[in-house]
Amino acid sequence: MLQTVHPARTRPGAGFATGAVLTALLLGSVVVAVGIGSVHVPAGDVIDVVRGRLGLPAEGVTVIDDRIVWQLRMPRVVGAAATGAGLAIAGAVLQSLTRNDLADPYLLGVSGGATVGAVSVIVLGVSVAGLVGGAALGAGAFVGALVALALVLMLATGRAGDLPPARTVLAGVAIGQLCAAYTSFVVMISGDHDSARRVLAWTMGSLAGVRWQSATILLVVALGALVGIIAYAADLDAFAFGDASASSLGVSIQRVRWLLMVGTALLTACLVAYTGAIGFVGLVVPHVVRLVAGPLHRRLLPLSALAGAVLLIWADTAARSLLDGQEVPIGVVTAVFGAPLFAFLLRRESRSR
Amino acid sequence: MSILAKDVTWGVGERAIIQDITLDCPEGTVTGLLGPNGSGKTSLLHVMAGLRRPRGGVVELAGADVHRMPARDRARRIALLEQHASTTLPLTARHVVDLGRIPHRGRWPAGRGEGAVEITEAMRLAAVTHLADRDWRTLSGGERQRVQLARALAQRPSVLMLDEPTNHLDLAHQIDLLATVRELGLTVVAALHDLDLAAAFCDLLVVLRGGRVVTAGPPAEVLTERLVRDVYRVEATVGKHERSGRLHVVWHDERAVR
Repeated sequence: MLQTVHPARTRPGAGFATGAVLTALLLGSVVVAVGIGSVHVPAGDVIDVVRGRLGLPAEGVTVIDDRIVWQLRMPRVVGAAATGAGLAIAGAVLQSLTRNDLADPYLLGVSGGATVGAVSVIVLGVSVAGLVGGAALGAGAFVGALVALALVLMLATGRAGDLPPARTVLAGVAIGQLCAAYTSFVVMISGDHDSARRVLAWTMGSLAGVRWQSATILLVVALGALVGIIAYAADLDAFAFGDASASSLGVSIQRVRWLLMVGTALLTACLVAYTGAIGFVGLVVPHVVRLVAGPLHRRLLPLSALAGAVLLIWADTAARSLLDGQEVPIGVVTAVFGAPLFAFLLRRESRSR
Repeated sequence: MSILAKDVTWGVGERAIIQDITLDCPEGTVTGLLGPNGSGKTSLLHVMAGLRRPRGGVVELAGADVHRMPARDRARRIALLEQHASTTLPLTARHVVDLGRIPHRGRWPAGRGEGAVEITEAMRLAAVTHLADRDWRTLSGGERQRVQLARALAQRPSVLMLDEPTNHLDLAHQIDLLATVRELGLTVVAALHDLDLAAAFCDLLVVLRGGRVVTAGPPAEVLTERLVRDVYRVEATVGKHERSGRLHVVWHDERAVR
């Protein structure tokens, strides 16, 4: 008798178990991370505040606890989770579409363009739609990211309206260099010491400015993108052996590539507008998840989102609590903690083969 | 299902790669595409499989235009085995075969167990069941080819397009693969280099040169010493093997005609 082979499942339930562990880790991280700060709030009190806010019976919630937990820290933690999830899925999608392990969410010039926008606002005081302060910075970054994206797409698009991955990557590099040149020039010529510092801080990313309004937007954008992209999980799997193979499996390769490349670039532009260009998460999280749960996207995408969310919650918690009275740029934290972890996993994988 | 190419022309930029090719493959037959490197075999297979839209002409699958079909419908009927398949991803052989079910699945991951029977059957037919949990990248060339065949069979196609399917295979596996494919009773179009194998396993041979059809017909009519000289520029003797009754081509002194 034939033994029925489970389709694409080496260890039945492995993805599910990883998902359950990561979900528990995410919820636990939110509760614990919200408690950490200059005033420590025990996990029980955090849960009481959240229960109270959700209209559930909660006892002994003080006004000060509610203010610290719900008004100050929770939006920042939620924003970090949403940003981490969004960056991780954007990286996973772009790595698959370009079949390039080094692809990250900023592949299509989004971070370079956003930095140009941010620099223009910080150093040159360009105003965007009459906005001021942090809102102007976000709007400038978003507009810059969109302009750079449009330029990359114009350069990369072939005669037949296709979007060849190799040329797209190179167009992204070219526009990125151009943006970097503009940024350096403007900072050198017009920037004083303070604005140079602000530009540097912006390029390393920060969630310090995230309030409930922006956290809600980040959450809606990240969840929407996740659901929309999971619908294309099988199409992304089909790209494993390249375009011809994907096409022979019934994938409309040009339509899918355009949709997902532009979609993830817009997702990234939204995230960057609120948090700056946080590196490493989108590059590394999908690789780590692939090592643990395999490369199939119906597992990879949701698990990357969860892992990215957990990673960025802790990175941001470290960023705001490592130094007294000063924030560490979150990009520094993600790299310092992420790189050794990644190196460890790579070594382990190379030994197991 | 029968597949028919009518006056098909396709090219890159100004250059035509294949020109005015007409090819009729009745249901259940095996058609061999022969011709030197660069004669347009792969391009013709890709156009007939619906991957490239022809500049002129039409490809019909049981009377329906292949290039007007929704891509998913097309992929449920035509499967393609590529000449070179490569991936950087750590896919197991079973993952690879599982890809063949993509055209049959919905967009949402509800039907994850879908296709278990088809996958098991395809892996048995291609004799790769024992490789199921191996990383595809660690397989030998021949094993990879058979796993890709299993993936194509998991699509449950009516038409199978094979691009040099016996590349990398040893003699026993070459015969095995072509015999397996023949026994399935599918309509098969295969680009082949080995003339003896082509003669043994094909109902119809089509010879291409410079993107055009030179000749077409049953192997005994097509495979002649003159054809081998004209198309491949190799001097050869075409004979009939006494015990098997099969055609065989023996080349000699190939430089004499260069």
